[in-house]
Amino acid sequence: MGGCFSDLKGGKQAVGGTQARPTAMDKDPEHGEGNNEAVDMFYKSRGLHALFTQIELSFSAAKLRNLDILSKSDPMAVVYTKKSNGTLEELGRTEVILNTLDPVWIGKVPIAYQFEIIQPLVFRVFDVDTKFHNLPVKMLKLNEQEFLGEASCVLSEIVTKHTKTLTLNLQNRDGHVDVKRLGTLTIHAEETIASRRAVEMILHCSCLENKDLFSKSDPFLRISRIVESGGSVPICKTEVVNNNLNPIWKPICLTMQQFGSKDNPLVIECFDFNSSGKHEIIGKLQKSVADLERLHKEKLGANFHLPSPARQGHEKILKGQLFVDAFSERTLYSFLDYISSGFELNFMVAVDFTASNGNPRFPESLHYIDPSGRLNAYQQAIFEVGEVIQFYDTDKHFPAWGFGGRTTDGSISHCFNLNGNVGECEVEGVHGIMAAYANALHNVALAGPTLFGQVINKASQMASQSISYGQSKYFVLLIITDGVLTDAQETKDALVKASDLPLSVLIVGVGNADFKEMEILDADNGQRLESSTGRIAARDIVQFVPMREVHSGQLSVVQALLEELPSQFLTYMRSREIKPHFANEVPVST
Amino acid sequence: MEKTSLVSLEINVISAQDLRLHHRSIKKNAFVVVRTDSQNSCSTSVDTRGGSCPSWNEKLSLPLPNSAKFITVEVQCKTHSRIRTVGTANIPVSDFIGDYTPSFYQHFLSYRLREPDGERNGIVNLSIRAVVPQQYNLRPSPMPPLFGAGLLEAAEKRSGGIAIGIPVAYGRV
Repeated sequence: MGGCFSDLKGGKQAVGGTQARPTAMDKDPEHGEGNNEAVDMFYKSRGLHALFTQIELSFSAAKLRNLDILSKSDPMAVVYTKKSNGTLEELGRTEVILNTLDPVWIGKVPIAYQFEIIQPLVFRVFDVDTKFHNLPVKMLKLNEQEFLGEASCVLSEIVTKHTKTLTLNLQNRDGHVDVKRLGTLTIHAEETIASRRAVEMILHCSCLENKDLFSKSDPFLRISRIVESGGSVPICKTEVVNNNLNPIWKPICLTMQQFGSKDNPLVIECFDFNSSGKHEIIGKLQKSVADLERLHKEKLGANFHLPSPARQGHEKILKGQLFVDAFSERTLYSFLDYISSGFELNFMVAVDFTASNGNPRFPESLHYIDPSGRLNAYQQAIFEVGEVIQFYDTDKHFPAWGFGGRTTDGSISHCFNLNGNVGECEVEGVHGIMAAYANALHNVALAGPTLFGQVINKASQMASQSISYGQSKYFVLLIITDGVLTDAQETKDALVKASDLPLSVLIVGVGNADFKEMEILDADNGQRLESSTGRIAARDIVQFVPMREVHSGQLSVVQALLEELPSQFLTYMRSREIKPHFANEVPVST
Repeated sequence: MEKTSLVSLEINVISAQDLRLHHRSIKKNAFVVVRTDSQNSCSTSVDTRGGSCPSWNEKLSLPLPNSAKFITVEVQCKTHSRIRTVGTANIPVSDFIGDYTPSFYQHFLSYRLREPDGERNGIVNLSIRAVVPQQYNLRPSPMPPLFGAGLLEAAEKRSGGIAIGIPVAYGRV
């Protein structure tokens, strides 16, 4: 570790824990970025995805076909995921229930829910022959069983429902609806997060020992959980405070999943950060979350200690102490908690009609509509993003705009309705956007320059106006552009205003332009956007992805664009203490 | 003429970042003074620990005079000898009233602080909510408010030149 070009800034960031009420206000270049950046990198480098949620599917069926002669069918359900090449991969199966046409299975199938991809599922119900009844379910060969029916859906269809339950009609294997009714299958999804409880603390230390030669120590804390085998697993690391023997760190938030229970012992170690990677330990102590709560209440400090070098088995008690300045318990609701309680994502699209795209009549143009049906870059972006988000938008009425084009009245507009309708900007469904786009190519002449300010302001206006009707809508604006901005400051001004609203802006860059300036808008480097009047963005609401970059990697453009969306949504909701609807309902006493 | 205020502001002064005095990060004892006009101001307590990134999370309540075009947020620091101004931000009232949001909306705002000579300093983070008496409920108007167009650098000139859409001040009283 610690090569010449290691990521020093990344190494000093806080890792782990969770974000309780994060805002872009945490993004201070000196102290490191918001908590999740380093965690996301950690997961991605191991092929896992940080933003998946573990779900359990449970099943029941009704009015199944009876295939046995003297008794009823003995049904079992199997779940498959449909891969992009059309093949099915089994995810799991339930147990066999004997002699029933209306089974309610107990066996659950776990699946990881990922917001940013479409997860098609296929369900099949089989009647298990009596001769197999003593075999464990996973040994059963499905081609030896009687097929009772099949159904398919997409995972987001289930989890976005208020009841998280979906009932489908069973069909024949080849999709034909049989004359004989095959019955129905009901699927219920449940998040397996045991508890949504979390604890938020502010820790500071005093009188730490100086480990550096020419300056003071650069301390940070690492909190680990003791596991049964006796070792410890780190769950959280604070950011590094430079040159300070009495540091106070930013608030850390630990979920109950991470620390187990309030009485579980946690090991808290204080290290002096070294850019070589060999951090020197200043001291450690062992406290449970309940102990930390007591330290806070009694306003006491706990001394660090180190194994004594002189006497074996003895600990040397140090002068350095740990204090808990703030301690609060909170409930952290998940993205699905909000969605299933009625919160929605409202999708909006803005398409670049500047001349740099090239004349749409020629195949080199980025706007060329291929008669063979192959989608151009614009169509691909609209289709793939819309396909995912549409499940989260109940009325599927999407505002669609174009910018930089000369409309039928002869003037250049930087925010015109894609459907050509002067009064109404909404179209219906993703196919509605595609149709309006194709139509607009006939009626609008490509012009320029490339300016986003007006469409962002229009989206902000819609987001602001929706707040008066309750705060359960979150807006997502997809901007597809081929070029570099003509006026970056105008866009920054619009984004700074939008950062205070329930809005995220996704920008896809198509074509071969140099998009370096666009990456500044993304603020992933920690620099908060500043408007021309000195106002600064309250949070990071932009995600920018150039289309060509992603083909080499494994993530698709859509995944890269959408993966930050649930956390931007949660940041907004949590910072305003907006809870899912069910959390505000008065519990009915039974 | 008496300056009446129908609107009062609930301001939560959250934190500040990267505060510097004479080009060096300050060590401690920063606090914030918020002013809505020459007669109405309120300050937070002193942060003794946060250094150049102090946090206060304090709620201040101030009346907003009808004619006010901006409010002033000043970060100050108590040094051994006296109180020094670290930087000031002038927040146009149009940033939190008269845009399309309803009056009860809590605005999370951050601003660049400027020193008296115009030099850039750190950033101050706060949230503002307008409290309006029931009968003058500020329904978002369908007319687009004039924000963004030609706003002068607020710190350089004290006169705002900003249009605000507070329908309350006109023809209601």
